[in-house]
Amino acid sequence: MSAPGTPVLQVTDLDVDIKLRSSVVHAVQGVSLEVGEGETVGIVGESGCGKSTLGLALAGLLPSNTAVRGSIRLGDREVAGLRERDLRRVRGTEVGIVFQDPMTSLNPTQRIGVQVGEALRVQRGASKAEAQAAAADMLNLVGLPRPNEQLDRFPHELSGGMRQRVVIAAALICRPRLLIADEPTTALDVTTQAQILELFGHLRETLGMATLLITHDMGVVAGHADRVFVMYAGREAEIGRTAEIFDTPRHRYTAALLDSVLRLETPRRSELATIPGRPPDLTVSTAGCPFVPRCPAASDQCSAELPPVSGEGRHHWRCYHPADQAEGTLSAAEAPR
Amino acid sequence: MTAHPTASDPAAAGPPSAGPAAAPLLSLVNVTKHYRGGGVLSRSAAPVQAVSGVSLEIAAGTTLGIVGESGCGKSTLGRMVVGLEKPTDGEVRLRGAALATMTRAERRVARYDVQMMFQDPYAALNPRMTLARIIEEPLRAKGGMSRQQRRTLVRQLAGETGLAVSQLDRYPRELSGGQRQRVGLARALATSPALIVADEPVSALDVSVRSQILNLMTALQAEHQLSYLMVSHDLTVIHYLADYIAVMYLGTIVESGPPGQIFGAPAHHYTRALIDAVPEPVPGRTGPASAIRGELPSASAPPSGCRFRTRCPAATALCAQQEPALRDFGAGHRAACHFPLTEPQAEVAS
Amino acid sequence: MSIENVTAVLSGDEPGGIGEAEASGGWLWLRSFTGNRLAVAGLVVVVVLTLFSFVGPLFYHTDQIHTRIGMETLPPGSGHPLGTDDVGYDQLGRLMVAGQTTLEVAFGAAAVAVIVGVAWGAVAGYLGGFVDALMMRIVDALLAIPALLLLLYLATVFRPNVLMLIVVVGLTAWLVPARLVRAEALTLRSREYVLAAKTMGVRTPTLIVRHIVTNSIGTILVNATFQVADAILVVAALSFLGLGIAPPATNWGAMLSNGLNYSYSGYWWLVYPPGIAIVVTVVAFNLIGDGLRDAFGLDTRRQ
Repeated sequence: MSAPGTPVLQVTDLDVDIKLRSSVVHAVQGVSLEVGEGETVGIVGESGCGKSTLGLALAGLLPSNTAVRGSIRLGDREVAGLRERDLRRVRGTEVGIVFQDPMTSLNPTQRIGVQVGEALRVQRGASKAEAQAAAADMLNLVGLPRPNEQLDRFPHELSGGMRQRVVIAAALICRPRLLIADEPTTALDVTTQAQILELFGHLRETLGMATLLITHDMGVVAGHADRVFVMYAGREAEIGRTAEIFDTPRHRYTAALLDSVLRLETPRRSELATIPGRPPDLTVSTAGCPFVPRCPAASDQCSAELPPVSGEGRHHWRCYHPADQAEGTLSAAEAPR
Repeated sequence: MTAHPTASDPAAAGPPSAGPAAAPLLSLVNVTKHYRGGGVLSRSAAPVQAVSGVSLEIAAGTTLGIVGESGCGKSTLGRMVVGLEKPTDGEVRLRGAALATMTRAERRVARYDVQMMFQDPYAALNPRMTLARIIEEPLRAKGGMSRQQRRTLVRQLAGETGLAVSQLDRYPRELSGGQRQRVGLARALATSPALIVADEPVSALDVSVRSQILNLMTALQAEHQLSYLMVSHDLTVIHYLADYIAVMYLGTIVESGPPGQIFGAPAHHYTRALIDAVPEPVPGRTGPASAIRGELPSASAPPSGCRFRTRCPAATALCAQQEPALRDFGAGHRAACHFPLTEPQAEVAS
Repeated sequence: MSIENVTAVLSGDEPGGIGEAEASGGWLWLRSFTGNRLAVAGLVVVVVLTLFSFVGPLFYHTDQIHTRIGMETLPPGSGHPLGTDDVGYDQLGRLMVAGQTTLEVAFGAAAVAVIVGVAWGAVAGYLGGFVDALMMRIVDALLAIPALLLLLYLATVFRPNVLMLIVVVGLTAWLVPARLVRAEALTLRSREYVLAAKTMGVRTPTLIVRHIVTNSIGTILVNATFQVADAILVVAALSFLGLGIAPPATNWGAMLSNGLNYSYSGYWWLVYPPGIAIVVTVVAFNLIGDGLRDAFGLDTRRQ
């Protein structure tokens, strides 16, 4: 057990390179991040920003054509660079993982009870009976009706929402200190999504685990994360408490992203704010800030050198020309299209 | 005993018409699609009731938004409008003329008036065709234009949808999701349709790209006097784009009306739950606890009476016995519920 | 991006913001293929053997019509780099001529098999339902007939020439591509771009060719190369059993069969050259097929 006050997860200067046939993709570059006990940190960004790769790296699930540099500490223990054997022990006991698609996360040929209890049997040497009992408890905790009956059913007999609950139960059976959830509700209906998000909240209170919630949905993060980490082009753009990020975004990307999110309050048929251009090619390393080609406030300094981390308290960003409180966020009229 | 929650009155569910009734561009009259259950060897013969008794109208130049979750039948409805599926009952009428009564030749011509934009930008374009060929394909199928004329039109469409002419010789694989959706839109516009059915056109796109495509769709609608049938599970998109909204659940329309009414004063419990479930990008706001319980029933065995009753917090015995009729809440707002959240004005004549 | 998308990106299949500067998408497979050394080696071998068979005789003239008693079974030596066969033909020249027939029949039969099979399978898979069931039951029924026995029978009934052999071998081989393409068609017909084409009013035959067949081209090409290899072996087997083309025409199988009569006499030059030619050609086509399969990303096990 690590000393109290030690963060559950501490990532320092993490780089992940993916080797493809003729190029190398710098999927994650210099990411540092901390997750405290029982805290929920949301990792947001759009496609290609590296958030899923980051999630895989933290779960120790990167394929063999990747190279990882930097440090990942779970409690006291350094996890980056561990061999598969040791990683396997970490996964399931210290870290639970929930993926996006409940259809493919469960083995269609195995009964639910077996799959939920699997980690207990493999990692803690529990007997079949013990594992089944624990599985039933867990299924009850995640809100499945009549958990004892569900143990013998197969995944295809359950709906998407129920399957996702099963996946969550399986991930948490060994009571890990950290749960990594990669787009856990994206494949679900919006009403089911609301139920699953409520479940996450409930589990946080009951089990006290820390959560890393990886998503592209700003609304999900707003309601369910304590802190938010915004990624762009493999790098950290901004990190801070949820209220800080939403109310006073500093990095230009964060501001632009928040501006372009469609809300129920957005006036109907108004001209929507967009971010012109496309995310950069991650096979090419750039010296400066990756957002330069799309940023309305970019200067030569921005292209020359990556901005250092600046910030107040626990709110940090990498931007030479942050959006500040006086000018507020970019208005739709200002935002280039 | 069971009253069908639709009206035989052709102005069943649609925006209140301004002025003397001109035939709406598209009307669905009691459209039903039931798939035969299982195959030859299947045990259960219960038909899958994908769509049951839907009546809707779309006027020229307006957007009808259909919102609902998985299994509600909205995609099937979209496909019937475009002609990819034929209703098992009821009629799809284009400018007053039922598609089913048209000759093959007439139907071919009608086709060009209604086109479709697909959800998945990665699957909507043939990966082995250049963009130019993709956009050109409907023109070749329609015929009547020379190669040169087609090429000119393709370039024009590309410009209108924000694609660079230089990209026309590229393949879909080289484009981003947003660019591919632009190609999809250009292709849908090629035959100058009056109506475009857009099935989840922005759901697969990044947030910042969504706004680009929505801006484009709004602009094109004004420019070409287009109508949209927008099918989506995303309430924010429907709210943004639709002039009239229909909420579907398990194959039926549970509520319909203008956006102000639907979002401001929803009458049906399911609509309320949908709105409550939308995660708002406001820090700390988790939204009201979800009032609906349970799981979506099977479409081959929908609940008796009101289909939503198994999950509705306000359901009573009456709801199981009698299917609620569509009631009028004023200003084109209709809902089918025995215990609606607001006061109805009248029963819609059935 | 979900995990699935990420793994797709990690294996280089999707752009998704990570741009691999590739040539235009239509010819991506060609670049992948040319990077595969074994596959290219196979292609080179095939090209060399084709040139050897068809162009060789223009430079190396031998009389392949008239037998020359008195010159039989001469070992490799002056004037005859590979010796002569049992009726006095120059063996090297014979190898070339035989190669022409072998390759003609092999390519021709593969072409017939692929064209008939693709058409059958694409139509069956796309139309689905009763038509599909009927068409595939016919395929199943025909598959139950042992091809070799059928060919043997046909070979005894019709005295085979090149064209006959092409048709006959092709018509027993089309069943496999039919099945393969039908499977592809079943998957492809619900793709959104196919639905889009339907809404545009594209006529069914055009749709099948433009959308279904072109997107199965990977499977088709791979199978075509294996068809060629198989055809060579089938013709060799037929000739081996004495039911090949009438002399003075010949093919490698016939040469091999003939040569084996003399294997105990130590006339190795009658046996090895045709045998090696067959093996090398078949292996080469298999390598090409494997290379194509990798280039099109069809073999998911490889990853």
